Amino acid sequence: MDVSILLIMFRDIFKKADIILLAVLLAGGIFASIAFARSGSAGGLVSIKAGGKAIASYSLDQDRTVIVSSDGSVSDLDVTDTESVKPGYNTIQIKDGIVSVIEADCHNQVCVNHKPISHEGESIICLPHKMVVEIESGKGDGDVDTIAQ
Amino acid sequence: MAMSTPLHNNARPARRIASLALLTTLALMFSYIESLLPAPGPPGVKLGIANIVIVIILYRCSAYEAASVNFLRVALAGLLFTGLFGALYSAAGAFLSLIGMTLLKKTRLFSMAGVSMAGGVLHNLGQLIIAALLVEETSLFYYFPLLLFSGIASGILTGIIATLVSRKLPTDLF
Repeated sequence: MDVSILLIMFRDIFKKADIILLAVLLAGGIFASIAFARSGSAGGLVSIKAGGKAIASYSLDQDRTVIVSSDGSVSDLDVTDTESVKPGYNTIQIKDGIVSVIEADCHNQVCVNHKPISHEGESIICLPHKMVVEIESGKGDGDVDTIAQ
Repeated sequence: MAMSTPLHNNARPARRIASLALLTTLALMFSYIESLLPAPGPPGVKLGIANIVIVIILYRCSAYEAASVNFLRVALAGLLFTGLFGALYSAAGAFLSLIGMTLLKKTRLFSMAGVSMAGGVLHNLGQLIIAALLVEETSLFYYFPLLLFSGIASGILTGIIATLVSRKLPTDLF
């Protein structure tokens, strides 16, 4: 079929506003894709729970260090600045897609000695503080009940 | 709701009801055919061929009739094949898509295919919102770009079919 016939058919069906709407929608989709890709949908999410409640969720792709207290408060403080943190804390580090608990004031230090995690479904649990760090898929299938207290 | 339908609609109510019943069956058949086809991708990605019928009714009759047929189709398809939650998702999608399509049609700027494209996108968006509310998981919106693109594609496709079919249909359909 001749290209010009296709063009006539196209003009016969679509209007100018359709093309503008299509362009807007495509631009929005591409923008959203880029925004999501940057926030790390590929690597997944690091979900942090304390005392049985989900308190924070971070992208695995962004390096950060957070201090989580067992009362549920989260602070983005520097690791060295633990003076101001309430007792019952865990310092969680996300670096190069690997999550580890680098410091904690719990008595058994199981979480600190735990090997770093990086894959979906893995978790580090600090039983004394009822703190759970888990890597979830970025798509979020909502399975929050997989860890027993 | 104000009836903005052409005069002949109300002149032959029996004929209109019969036509709408027939079109509801046709839309339901399309839903059935689609439920038989293997899923083309992740959940939510689908052709939406029943939308052809809805768009045609929207143009030939009114938004009120298109909504009635669409919600009947969703309810029946839910009882017959997609299940209660499937119907809930579809109803949310149908609601948002009908509102959007009606508004876009009223501007008179868009073609049938353009209106259908917007309908496809809004249908997927409505489903996504309901899904995110039901599972209380906002990370579900990672699906948004994928559902947006698939909504555009299926909306344009069904819109082109609706345009071509509508041209061949008799003018006194209702």
